[in-house]
Amino acid sequence: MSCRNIYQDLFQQKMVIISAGLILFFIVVGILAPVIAPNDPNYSDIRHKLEGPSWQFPLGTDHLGRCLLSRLIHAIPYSLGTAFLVMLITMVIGTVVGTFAGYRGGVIDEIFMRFCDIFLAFPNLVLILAIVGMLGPGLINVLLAASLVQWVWYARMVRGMVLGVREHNYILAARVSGTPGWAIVWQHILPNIASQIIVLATLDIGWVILSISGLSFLGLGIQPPTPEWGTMLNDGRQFLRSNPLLMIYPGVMILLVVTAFNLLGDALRDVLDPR
Amino acid sequence: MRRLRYIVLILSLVLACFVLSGCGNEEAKTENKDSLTFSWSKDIGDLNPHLYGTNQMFAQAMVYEPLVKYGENGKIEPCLAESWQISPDGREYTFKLRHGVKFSDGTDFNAKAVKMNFDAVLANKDRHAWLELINQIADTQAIDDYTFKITFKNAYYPALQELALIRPLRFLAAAGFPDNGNTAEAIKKPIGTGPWVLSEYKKDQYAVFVRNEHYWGNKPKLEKVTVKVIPDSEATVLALEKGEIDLIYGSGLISLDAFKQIKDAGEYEAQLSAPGSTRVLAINSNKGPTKDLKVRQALEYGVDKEAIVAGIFYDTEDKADTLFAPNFPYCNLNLKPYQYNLNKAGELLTEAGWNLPAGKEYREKDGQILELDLCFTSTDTTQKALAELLQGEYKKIGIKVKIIGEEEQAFYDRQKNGNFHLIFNETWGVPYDPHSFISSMRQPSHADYQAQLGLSMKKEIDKKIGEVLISNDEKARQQLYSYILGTLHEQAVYLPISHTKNIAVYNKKLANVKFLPSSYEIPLELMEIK
Amino acid sequence: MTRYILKRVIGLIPILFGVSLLTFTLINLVPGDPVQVYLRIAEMLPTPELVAKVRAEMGLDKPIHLRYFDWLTQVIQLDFGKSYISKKPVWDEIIYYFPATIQLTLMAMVLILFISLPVGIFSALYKDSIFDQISRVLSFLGASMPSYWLGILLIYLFSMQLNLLPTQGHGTVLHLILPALTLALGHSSTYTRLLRTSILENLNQYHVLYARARGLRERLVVSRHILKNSLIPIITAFGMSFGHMVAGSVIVESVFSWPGIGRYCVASIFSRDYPVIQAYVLIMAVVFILCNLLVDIVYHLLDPKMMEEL
Repeated sequence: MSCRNIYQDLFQQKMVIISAGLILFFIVVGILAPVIAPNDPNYSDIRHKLEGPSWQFPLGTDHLGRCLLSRLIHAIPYSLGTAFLVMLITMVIGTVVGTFAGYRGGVIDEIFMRFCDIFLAFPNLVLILAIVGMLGPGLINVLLAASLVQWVWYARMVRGMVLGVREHNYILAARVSGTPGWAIVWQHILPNIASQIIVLATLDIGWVILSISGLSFLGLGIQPPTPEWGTMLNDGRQFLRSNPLLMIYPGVMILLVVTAFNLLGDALRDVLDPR
Repeated sequence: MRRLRYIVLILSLVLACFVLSGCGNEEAKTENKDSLTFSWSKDIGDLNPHLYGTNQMFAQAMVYEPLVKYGENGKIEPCLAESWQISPDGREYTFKLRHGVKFSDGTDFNAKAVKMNFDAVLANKDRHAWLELINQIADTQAIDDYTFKITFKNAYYPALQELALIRPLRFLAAAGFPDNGNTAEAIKKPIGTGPWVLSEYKKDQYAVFVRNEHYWGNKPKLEKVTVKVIPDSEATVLALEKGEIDLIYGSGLISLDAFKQIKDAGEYEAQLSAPGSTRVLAINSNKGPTKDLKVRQALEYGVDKEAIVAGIFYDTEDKADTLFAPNFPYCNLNLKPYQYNLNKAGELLTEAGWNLPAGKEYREKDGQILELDLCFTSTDTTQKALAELLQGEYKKIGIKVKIIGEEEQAFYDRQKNGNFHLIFNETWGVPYDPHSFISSMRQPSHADYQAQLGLSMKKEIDKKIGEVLISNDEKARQQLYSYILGTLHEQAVYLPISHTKNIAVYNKKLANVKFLPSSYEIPLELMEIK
Repeated sequence: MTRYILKRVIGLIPILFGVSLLTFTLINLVPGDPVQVYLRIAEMLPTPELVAKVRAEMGLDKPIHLRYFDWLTQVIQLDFGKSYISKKPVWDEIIYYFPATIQLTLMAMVLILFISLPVGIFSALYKDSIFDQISRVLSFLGASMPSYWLGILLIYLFSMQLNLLPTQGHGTVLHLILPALTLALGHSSTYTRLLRTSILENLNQYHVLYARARGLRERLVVSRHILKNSLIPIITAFGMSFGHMVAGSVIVESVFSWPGIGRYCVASIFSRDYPVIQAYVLIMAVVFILCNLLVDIVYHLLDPKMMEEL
């Protein structure tokens, strides 16, 4: 049991605010991308190739004469949005299935656990790679693959949480008083595990962002010319010696966003779930 | 506790041994004065002289030799055949084979070996159907030890050019054939008559070739050549700069930006070859908006090729206005180029019924937006750059171009199925152009066939292609080519962009780095270290 | 002990069965007729006769459950079929590339130990010091950085600017350092923090208190009591990570042109070499399962009492 002094608490608070703020900033910029971005991210003018920062192109241009800043901004919906979508899908499905299995118990739970064992016997990335391999590269397939693979993990975690909460007194009381199962789940169980789920999601979304951009980097994910941080990193690789900035910008973006999520998740965990 | 410490210690020692021993000295040494190291983006493959696929052409050319060679200006020179005679009707070719040539395992090269190889290739005819030469062979005969006769169904005029190709008609020693004589899947050992012999091979890492000491011709000056497999273009450049390789030779191995940088920096020699193949876009006359000739012509007028050549290729490639450069046989036809003219392009589109509604970006007709699919290989940086550029260019005349970058397999599928409006393609250069390339236009599994399918005169074109290949009369041939190439040009089925060139970037200690007429061979036997 | 191992191994069988089933169904995800796909990839003309012939050869005309059993029997004998591209047995190809990945992973784990052990221990012992704060920040950064970005940055720094190490390829220890470091840095933050938390938890346990009360030297207290117990979760994590790292090395292998199975799998995805992808998935799963089993056994060895509780 670690004693947390006041300094720690303040630090946590600050961290939560900074990271949440950063994430919000990215989301807002992403939503407002068409308005904020100075140029069309896909408009290429070869004559402006690989230029440095200027009034027209605040961060310079890439090898095809496209505005870097605009591309970075327009990449947000893809790099972040896809990850959010995956998280949403996996969380919803995972929570539903996990709660069902955890609450009902018995045979259903057993079957579910075996199923999980099998799915979780594969390292995540391997399964995603395989599914993308079979279906072919592309944004939709990556989304599908990532969701298909992640929800099992969630379901299992949620099941564990539900098991932990199921035998609490107030749940037993509700059951005795005749409240139907689904109402118990909805009114009592879910609110109790909600915070844990959120912490889990926040900590995990960083991994999803990294995986999706990793796949795009390999050429398996989002296809050009759609701007995405991973693909921009791949593009910039050729110019490492001459214009390393092409690679630095998207890398920093990913770093910032993922760090923000990790920090937020960590702080949330300390606050909501001290153990 | 002490026990645990011991365990950890032992484990880490074991680990260390494993790691270090596993590394060993697998790196092929490049310290020798007579050895050269260069890189290639793929593994050299099985070195099967009768197959394609993963077999890399430059490697096949190092080990195996043809009956005749393709020399400067298209002159056919003797190689494994010293001389030959063609019958008056053009159907029988009798070759006198060179005496005293041995395979690298010591066995003799003779007509029996030639027949064995021809039989193996002809047994797998379906695989070689793209090469009209194979389809035209009626019979082969080993008349005596050093005389070999091929009889064709018709007087096939490009026979000698196609016999000079790197594959499939080059010769493997009997000991290299699998037991059942069938080279369609694999060979036993890569034994050829060429100036190089494979001595070491580590798949996906490197291959080492040594000089064939019993070579019948001019022996290479170098003793040893190592080919390192470096798939990444940036890593290739880095390897050159750090001295891990001495030479980069070929096209598409490094980005043109990198080439320019190296050339400008002056630390290494940088050379460009003469123009080879033509980079084109095939426009599908059988699908969607591009069925309309006017739309295709508009696409031709709407491209600023000079800007492309300057901006993307840094003038390392030449602008192309026709499918084949005029200096190729029968291709000097004075065809009128489509000059860059945005207005004309716009007019043609309007004439075709595609109008630009006020305030909108793209043209519409019957409620449909003028949208075209432009397909390319996502790993090819040049194609990608071109595609993105063209997308921007065509937007200016109101055409919405959706660029679809896929990995190679999916890309080839599109070519074969005609699932595109615009797709990247390349002619084959010397010695294939123009005859082999147009011959393949008759194959349904080629993008050219698919793109031409919508032409009302496609059948006529195919018929004339068949005729020109077996035409024995120079004048008739020229007329047929004028018709074929002229029609394709007028019908705007191809959008020629540029003529590609091979590049060579190398350490200044290398001398005699030249380019051969065929862009697929690397003249390693001429190179030497100063 | 042996009874435990036996029980676990037997328990694995249904899982392995399920895993094989899942892998088998994977290949049916491929859009299109598998025979046509194969012929196109192998560059053979799909004439109707050839298609029928190949279909019979591949056993695709049999009902699905028969096909599954055929496949399963082959797989148990380590016959994963032939690569569509190279026509060689898939198992041979994978064996060819496997050692390189293992080398990389092992080296990475050694590096992780070298990094996370001292940092983790000191962070815990000198909690809230500057060292602890900095290591915490670096940990976050390390865990948040895309591995390929880190790898390329390292190449830029050590290979291009400082000219100390080779840029890519495989051959000597020098070639191994950068890729292993890239892999290690990404994961070491997890271990550092895990170790730190674990030690902190143990620091306040009663047995430590008693040891201190008995007057034991601090160093002995740390090593004999704290470390031993703290290492247990580390070992668990290690075991699981091994599997993840072997799989996750895919990206690092691509950046450094390291000839391991990860890079081979990615290449196979691009060339649609389905037998290879299938074999890769199955083998990875088995490796992963075996690692977990090994970890459980080691866990059991170290502390039978803990296992009883679970």
